[in-house]
Amino acid sequence: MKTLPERRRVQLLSAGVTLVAALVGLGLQRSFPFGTISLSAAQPGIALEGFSGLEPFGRWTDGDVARVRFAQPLPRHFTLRFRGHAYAGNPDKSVDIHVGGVRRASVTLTPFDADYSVDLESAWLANDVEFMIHNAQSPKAIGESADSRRLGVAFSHIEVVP
Amino acid sequence: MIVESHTAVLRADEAIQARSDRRWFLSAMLVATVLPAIGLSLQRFLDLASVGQLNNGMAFLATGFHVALTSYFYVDPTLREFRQSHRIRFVAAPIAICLASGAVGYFLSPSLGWLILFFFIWQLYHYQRQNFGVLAFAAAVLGVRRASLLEQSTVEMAGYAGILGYLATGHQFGGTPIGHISAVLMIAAQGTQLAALAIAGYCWWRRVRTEGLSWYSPWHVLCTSFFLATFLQSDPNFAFSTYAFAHGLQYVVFMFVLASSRAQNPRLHGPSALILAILGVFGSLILLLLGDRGLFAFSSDVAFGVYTGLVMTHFVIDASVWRLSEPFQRSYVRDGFPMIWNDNTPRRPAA
Repeated sequence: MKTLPERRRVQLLSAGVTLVAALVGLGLQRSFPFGTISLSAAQPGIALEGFSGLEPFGRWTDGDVARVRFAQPLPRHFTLRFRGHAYAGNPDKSVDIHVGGVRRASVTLTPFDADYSVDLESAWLANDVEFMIHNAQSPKAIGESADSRRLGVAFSHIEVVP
Repeated sequence: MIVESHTAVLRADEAIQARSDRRWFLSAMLVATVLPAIGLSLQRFLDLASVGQLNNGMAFLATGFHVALTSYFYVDPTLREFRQSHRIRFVAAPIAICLASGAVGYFLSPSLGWLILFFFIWQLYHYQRQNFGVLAFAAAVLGVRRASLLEQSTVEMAGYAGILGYLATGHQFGGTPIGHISAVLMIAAQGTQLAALAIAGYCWWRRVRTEGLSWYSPWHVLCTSFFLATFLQSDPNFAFSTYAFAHGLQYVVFMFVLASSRAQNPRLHGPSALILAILGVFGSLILLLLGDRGLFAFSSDVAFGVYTGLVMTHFVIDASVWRLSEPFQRSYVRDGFPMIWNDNTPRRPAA
């Protein structure tokens, strides 16, 4: 039987170890606690992107996309619960919810605080939830105030329930 | 009798000189590998602004300048026949790569994230391939057995860990699904890096048992830790700079030793180190202009595509010229490092 060249053997061995390391790592991290996402303080394993600074109620989204990124893959099925309201100045108050880059749901919010609960399915190995804001507007653009942030949703609570 | 003793004295002098050159080379390689992590850490974590100039200097040498040094292989007359017999690699491939990456920038601008993703995977793999060369040189200088299959594997694994870790933390791959699976990429990267270090530790123990203590195993662990900054802190740009600078500086050392030695040997007619430096400065200016997306506002994605194409050309040419498993390239490199490869003075006995 012809033996593989040394470089191929090195590559195969290394790829095998990488695969095993990934599987072991995933196995060890299965107990990662999903739950309430802190909007006030940095939380290990969770990163917020596209959110504005902390305010007494929570945080506004700023821009077209607000993303919650987790340090481990999301469960295949989970419920996303959140409390918030849409910016009154936006003509379109609907928000698309993407999981792993794939659109999974659309929610139309009101300008008043309300609780929402959405059952979602995750893409394989995906680790982020994105809120895609339609036509985010800044108060400055519509002459309401000098605030130039492109506001979408004011979140006061976000929770991932496996 | 007098002639014989004079010759013996000359040989002894040459041996002392060669040993000194070997030590200088390995010391320079060590500085090139670890200085970036030290300099960048001092600036970032201790806020030492005074090392900023040092870091700027390293940034210049390690980015466009080091890439441009590859053009030496286009002007070295010794390689004329080699270039002619490898026209596809030396001429057609670079043109095709630059045209293709420029075209991606022009026609498929929204897909630039895919080009950048491909580019970074290749670039980081290219970094780690050079570490195999560093280890081969270290083994030759120290006079020990070359890397075993397991030792090579830990360096390869560290390369995979570095690539996966960078993909997990880098945020410039828009339009690709990479950001959505960053968690699993990071878990795989961390696990692979840990496994590589654990196996490297085992390899060290085996070397000590079979060969006794030597500086080779620390070199091996260093090469296995090449991308470690990705896992020790959270800033992907800082991590990337540590290993990009280290790679670039290693290459500068390799190239200047090679050019100096070839120029000093009257048999080889190699271009001088000064010509190499001029090529480096001139080439780095071109790369700087192409890479500056502000300058080419009218077609910045095209210019950026061509820039990545030129850097990828550096990967392609290097992969050929430094392929020490091929007889011609081995002979070419050995001529460039006579104090290491053509020196027969006794060193540590190989196991």
